[in-house]
Parts: sequence; C-alpha cells; structure tokens
Amino acid sequence: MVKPTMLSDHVNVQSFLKSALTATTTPDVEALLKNLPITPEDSYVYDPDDPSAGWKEGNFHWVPVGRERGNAGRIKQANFPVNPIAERAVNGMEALIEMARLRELLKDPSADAPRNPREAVARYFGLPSLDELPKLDDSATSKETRKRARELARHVRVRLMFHKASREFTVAIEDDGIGQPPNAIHRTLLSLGTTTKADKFYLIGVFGQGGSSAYAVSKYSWLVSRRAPDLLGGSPDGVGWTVIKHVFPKGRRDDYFAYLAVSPSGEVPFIAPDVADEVSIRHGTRFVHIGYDFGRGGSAITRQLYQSINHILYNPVLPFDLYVGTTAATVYGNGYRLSSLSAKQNKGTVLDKVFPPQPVGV
Amino acid sequence: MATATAQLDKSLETPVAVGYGTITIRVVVFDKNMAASAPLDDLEKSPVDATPDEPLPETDKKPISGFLEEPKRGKAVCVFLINGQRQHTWDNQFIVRDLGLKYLRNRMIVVVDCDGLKPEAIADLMQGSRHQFYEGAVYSALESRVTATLKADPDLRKIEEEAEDDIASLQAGDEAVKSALDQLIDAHHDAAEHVDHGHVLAGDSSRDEAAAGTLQQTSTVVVESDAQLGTAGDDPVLAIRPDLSVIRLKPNEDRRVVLVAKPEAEWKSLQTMTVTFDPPVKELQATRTSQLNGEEIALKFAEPDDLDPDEYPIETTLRVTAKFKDVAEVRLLERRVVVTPRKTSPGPIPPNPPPPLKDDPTYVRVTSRPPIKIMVGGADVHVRLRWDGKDELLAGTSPEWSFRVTCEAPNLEPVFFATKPVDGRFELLIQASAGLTGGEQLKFDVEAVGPGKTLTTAFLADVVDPPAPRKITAKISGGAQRRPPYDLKYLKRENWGDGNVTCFGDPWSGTEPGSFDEPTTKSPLTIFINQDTDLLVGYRDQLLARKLAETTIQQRINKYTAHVAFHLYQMYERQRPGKGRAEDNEPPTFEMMREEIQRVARTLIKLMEVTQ
Repeated sequence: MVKPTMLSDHVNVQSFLKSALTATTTPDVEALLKNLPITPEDSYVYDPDDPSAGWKEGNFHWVPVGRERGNAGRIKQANFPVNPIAERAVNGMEALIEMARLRELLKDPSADAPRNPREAVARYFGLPSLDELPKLDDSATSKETRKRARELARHVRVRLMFHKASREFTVAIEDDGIGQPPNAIHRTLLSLGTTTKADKFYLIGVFGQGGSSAYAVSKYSWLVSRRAPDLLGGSPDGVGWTVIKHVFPKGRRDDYFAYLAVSPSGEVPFIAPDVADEVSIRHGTRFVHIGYDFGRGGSAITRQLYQSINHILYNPVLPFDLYVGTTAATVYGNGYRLSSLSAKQNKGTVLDKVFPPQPVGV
Repeated sequence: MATATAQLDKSLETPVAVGYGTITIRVVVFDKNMAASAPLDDLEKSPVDATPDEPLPETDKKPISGFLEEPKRGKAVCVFLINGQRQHTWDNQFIVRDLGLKYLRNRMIVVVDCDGLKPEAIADLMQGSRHQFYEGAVYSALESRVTATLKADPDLRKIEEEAEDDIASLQAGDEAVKSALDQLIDAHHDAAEHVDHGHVLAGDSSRDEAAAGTLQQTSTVVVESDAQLGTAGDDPVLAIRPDLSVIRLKPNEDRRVVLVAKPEAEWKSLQTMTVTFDPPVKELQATRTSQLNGEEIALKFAEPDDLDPDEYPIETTLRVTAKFKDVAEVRLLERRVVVTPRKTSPGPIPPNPPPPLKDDPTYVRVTSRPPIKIMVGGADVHVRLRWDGKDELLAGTSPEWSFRVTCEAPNLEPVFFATKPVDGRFELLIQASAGLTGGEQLKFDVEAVGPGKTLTTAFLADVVDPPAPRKITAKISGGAQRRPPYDLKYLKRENWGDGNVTCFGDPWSGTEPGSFDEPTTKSPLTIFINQDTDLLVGYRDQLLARKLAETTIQQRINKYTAHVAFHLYQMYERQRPGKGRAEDNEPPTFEMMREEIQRVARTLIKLMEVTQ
C-alpha cells in the first residue's frame, strides 16, 4: 500500500494554496510545480493493471486523465476554441442543478426527479426558459423572476484574461455548485468515458468529455473543488487541487493528458478544510485554463467572445456572468437577446414567430 | 372522418410514439433598417488583447450581425439546439436556396429546438465533437420538417414580397432602359432583309373559340420563352410593356401596362383577345383601352373596407390569350400579380391596430383566401384564422377555451396542428402528408369550445399535384425565316498584315476598331472587329488590373463588341443608295467612315469607364 503524498510535507499549504488560486500564467504554474517533488513523466509510465509499478513514494506523479493512456482521442474533441468554454459553463450549470436536486432528496428521499434540465430549473430556481424572460409582464412576480435570474448568473462565472507581457490568454470557469470531495475528483471531474449522470435526465452532459476538451487547447489547466458541506454524504471535507498538462512521452507517438496525483489510485492533492476556510474557499469547482489557444491573434478574441458564447449557448438553461478584462456581462443566450429585441417598444424585428412542437419523421 | 384536437398552447405535445419525437421552430425577421446591435460597448471599443496601433475593423452593419458567431460571414443563421446549446447550424444559403427568401437572407434567424426528440433520435444526431449533427436518417427527417414548415409561411412570404417590392421600385430606371433596348432590337429586326416573305400555315384543327370563347380546351399555344420550353414557334407573340415578370399592385392604385405584339406591326392582325385572372379576384379591376399598336390594361385592386390585413399578399395570375389573323395557334401571355398593402410612411411597418379581444369571444373565422391548395409532397399549408377571444383564454394547463379541429378526408387525413394565438390570430399548419392524392378535397371544421359556447368555422382544401413541365407545342410555319444580316469576323494583331482584308481600303493598325465589307452575291455584309485595337487592349488591361472576375471582363468586352458591330451595321445601312442615303447624295468616304468608327469606339470605352 503506497502512502499518499501530502502537500503539507513539502510546502506551507496555506501560502501554497493562495499562490495556486492566483496562478493565471504559465510562469505562475511552473513556479508552483517547482516547489513540489514530482517524478518526471518519462520516469513513471502509468500501467492501469499495476499503477503502483514505478511509483516513488513521497513524490507527486503525472497520471493520465481518466487513468487511460490513450485519452488524447477522447479529449481532443474541440473544433473551435470557444466550444470548450461553453462546455465548462454548462458543467457549472449542472453543478447548481445537482446541488438543488440532492438537497431536495435530503428533505424528501422519494421526490421524483425532474424529467429534463428545464423542468429542473423551473422547479428549483423558478425560472422559465430564458428566451421567455423578456416576454414576461411588468408584474411584481415577473420582476422577481428576472431578479432571480440575474442573481443565479453570479453563481457561474466565466473569465477571460489576457496577459500583455506574454500575450497569453487564460480562461477561468467557476461555479458555486455542488463541488466534489477531494477523494472523488479523480473519479468524477477527471474521469473519461464513465459517468455518474446516466440516469439523471435533468442533467445535460453524460460522459464529461465536452469540458475535458479544454485541456487540449491549454498549456496548463488547474482545478480546485470543494463539496457543499451538507452534501458530503460521508466523504471527507476539504479541497482537491491539481494541474493538468499535455504529455509528449519521449520516443513515443501516444501523447496524452495527465494530472498531478498523490497516489497510484489517482487521488489529487488534498487540502484540509480548516486551511480551505482560511483562504475562503467555499463549495463549488474552479477550472483555470492557461495559455488558451484561440488560434487567431489580435483583438478578435475579446471582441467576439460575448457574441460567440451567446451563439453557442443559444438558450442556456441558466444564465452566467462573463468577465472580459474588467468588463462584466450576463450571458442569457441569443434566444433571450432576440426576445428582448422583439419586446422593445420600437421593435427591431418585424416577425418573431414560434411554431408549437411538431412531429418529425412521421 | 378523422378527428384531432389541437390545443393552442406551447404546452401542446404531439405524441412521440411514432417518428423521432418533436421539434419547436422559432423564426425571427429583423427590420431591414435595424443597425447591427453592438455586443457590448466596452468590449467593442477597447479589446483587452488589442495591440498598440492595431487597426480595429469596422462593425458589420447587417441587422443580424450582432447575433452571429462570426458577423463577417453569413454563417449559422439557422441553429439547432439541444438543452439550449447549439449543436448544428445552417448558413443563409438555406434561406435563399431552400426557402426561396432571397431578400431575407441577411435579416432572418431560425431556431430549431430539438429537446422534444426521443433520446434515441438525439443519440443518432449527436457526435462526440459536438461540432455538427450526423447527417443520417434522423437529420434528413429534421431537415424536411424545418423546410416544409417555413417554405410556405405566409408571414415570411409577405415580408419577402415587401422587400422585393422595395427593390423593384429602385430598379424602375433599369426597366425603362431595358424597354428602350428592346425597341431598338425590334427595330433592327424589322429593318432586316427577308429571303422569303413570311406566311403562316393555319392548322386544320384550329378553333376560333380558343382565344375569345369560353370553351375550355387543350390547345397548342405559343408563348415567348427561352428555348428550353417547348419547341420552336413563330411570330407574332404577345408581350408586355414594361417587361415585368411580376406585376405588383398597391390597394386602390392604378398600375398600367401595355399589351403589344412582337413584332409590333403584327398588332393590326389581332382578331380577338381575352384577359382573365386565375384564380379570380373579385376586387381586381382591369380596364382596357385600345391604342394604335397595343392595348393598355389599367389594373386596380379596390380594397374593400372590411378586408382583413392578414389576407395580404393577394396573388393571382394575369392570363392573356389572343388570336391573330391567319395564325393557327393561340398566343398566350401569363404574369403573376401580387397585391401588397400600401405603406403609410417610410421606415418600419407600423403594427396593425390590435383587434378588440374579448373575455367572451363571438366568432372564429378563416382569413386565408380560398382556394386553399395542398400540393402533394409540397410545403406545409398555413391556413390563417382569427378569433376575438383574448389570448390568455387558451393559456395555461387548464384553459377555459380550447380548439377542436376535425378533417373529413376521402382517404388519408393529413397531419395538422395549430399555432399559439397572438392578438387573436393563429394558423393551422397542414402537412402535405404522403398518401394524399391530387384531386381530393378535404373539409376542415374548426370549433372553439368554451364555457357553454361553441364557435365554428370551416374551410375546404384542394389536394393538387405538383406542377409538371408544361408541354407547349408549336407548328413551324414555312415563312418568316430571316437571313442573318451580317457575318461577324474578328481580327487580331497577326491578321493586320493580311493583304486580303483591309480597313476601309487601308491596312489594319492599332488605331482601327473595325470596318465592314459590303455584301456580294457570294457573301453577306461582313463586319470586322479589331480585337487588338489600342483602345480595347488598354481597357482590357485596366479591367485585369482591377482583378475583376473573368466573366465580368468578358461581359464588358462583349458589350463593347456588340455596340461597335451594331454601329458598323448602321453605317452600312446609311450609306446604301436608296436605303439610308438619297440617290443623289455622295457616299461617305473611307476616311470619313474610319474616323466615325474610331470616334464611336472612343466614346464607348469612355462611357464604360465612367459608368463602372
């Protein structure tokens, strides 16, 4: 039995965590990693049948995401740079829905599950489809609904940062959702091809691959996650943290994506709850993708991100906040924006027509 | 008798036991005057990644630009969503090609919500990359349904008609130019020599009633069309001035067109002519006035006071048949007539005044104009209805009122469903289901059922076969065969030294645009065009330097060539004794003719440079 590597054995965890939470450039991450005893990726080749083989106790090791050496095929799924950001934002929405669902079950274990994500949003947050929001009247109830939508948007945040010195983009996606206990992160947030969502029709993704595609377009990614305290279900409280990077093994063609693990079974570095409290880490998950490859240079990226993400998440189940540099905006999707346009007194549209559901393929 | 209940609420779910489930379609058309909406002022003005002195691109001004992922491209105007996330897109070619709404391509967005599809259908569509749908059987059904729903949508057609109308009024000057050019060409042909004087062999089975009678019969008719339609016919044909493909009318406004014969001189041989509209529109008046070489038709749509604005656009076909003396076949001319409402002022179309809606409705009625035709295999038919009940009477899960629609069909009842009412207006969409047969008539009864009250209306829909290619036969007469008036020959630099070909008696050079040789007993009038004249070479180089498309350059060179050749033809005609020149006048010298054609070529090139 290999003893898990403890951060506290090598660094001052509190100051390390503070630095980790503000790492937004490649040098920031590399400076963090320098403080840790890490076995080089070519010195430890993960064997799923015997992950302990070659493991050096006391060191951190690079373990393939999903604990699968051939994970590049599953992770390299993004055709366009904005798609992974949208996928991560959707993961954040699901984290809020799942938290509400589990709290519902705590109160009433026999409560029927919502049949789909929109029903879940209506039940737990009292929101209609977002494209219906601008069509609501001016009653107090409608105003309250709109206010609730704006407040909910603050619980999923997408940030785009640009570092002028290195001309490097960083994308951070944060949610205040259910989060994961540190001992489950390798089986949930870092899994591939397996799912805990298969029977949950009120969630959106299934295999978690959409968000993982962000690893492929980033130089480094890091994550922290903490489970909502009332939903630990027997798991230990605390924060899990790790870094994900693209590994090109020497003399081999099977590049893969790996994360920093503390044990052959794949757990991520662990931070005790009291330390987490001291640096004010609440429940939820934060993914930060550093050196994000947007393809084209120039100002097209920041100019277009708001518009692009409103197009990809055309009518999202929940709104979220987008920060570009120092500018903030709430993303409700183009469906909402179109309805806003139609609802204006001086109409920008001459037609806004919705056909009711109609059968296909009969 | 088949019965279906249509609940006028978005909550209506068509059973998904058959097929792939359901989709919801939303279509949004922007006002054409709406500027592109800026995404976010701050983001727009100072992108954080902008380099110093980076030239920032100007904002695209198309109305939909603010709603596209890539505003500089006409991409992704039709989106397919699953759980609100875009999973597939079509570009605006779908609007142009599949819906035929060319003028809405930069103003229209279509959103297809696929959440109602069965999980198996979604699984078939979704790809791991989340990039686009898999284009298999489910996709094909989805594509057909979206197209069929939107293709014949009356609201979209109405907006397209209005856009066309705007463009048609902008092109009025062009119409006049075209008309003048037609006359020039006609005059040219009238002046041409004939080997044989034309005559027409009347057919044995021709009947006088064909043109003026009421007897419906299959006849051989002659229309003016391109060579792809029917077989070759002979003159005369019916024509319309100005040469419009669609006659657009505004209520209570006269629109005058003139029916003529081509060649115009044939008008004097006209025996009878009828003007009808198919389908008849009782408010459409046609006043006919004889003219020397034609007949003027003044068209006017007298808008009745109680006309529902939803009835627009009103469409019919103007059909003119004529019988000419000693000509067997009837001459036919058809033009589409579209009546659209008059705009009260420039700018956005003002909304119709909202009809008074009641808590206790008193009527439901059909506002679509008969005949309602369902084309086998065609797009969905949108039958417009109106009632005077408030929209909320049909809202919610247990509405006070509901609509029941029943269909009496001889064989198979089509699939149909109703849209949600907005300001009392709604539509019944009838799908042209497989199994319907042309010639059938379907009867639809619509009932609005409320507390202690039922309102009813009904309409008939005719099932028609899709239009097939019309076979128009024409018997070829033995006359009116014209000899080509000239032979056109092109010279290049290497031909300039050929002693057998001269330019008005002198050797060719770079200053000579063209010349002609008079006809002889063995050869017709021969017109020479110098393709390497300095003027033309210079002009061609200019066009190439501007990197114009090959076809554009070719069109402009053709235009120059045709005009120079036509002028040489006219020069020949003018100098002929007894034709363009009096017998006792001296013919122009070669030098005079060389100078004239040089001047014409210079003017032409200058004009083409200026007008481009």
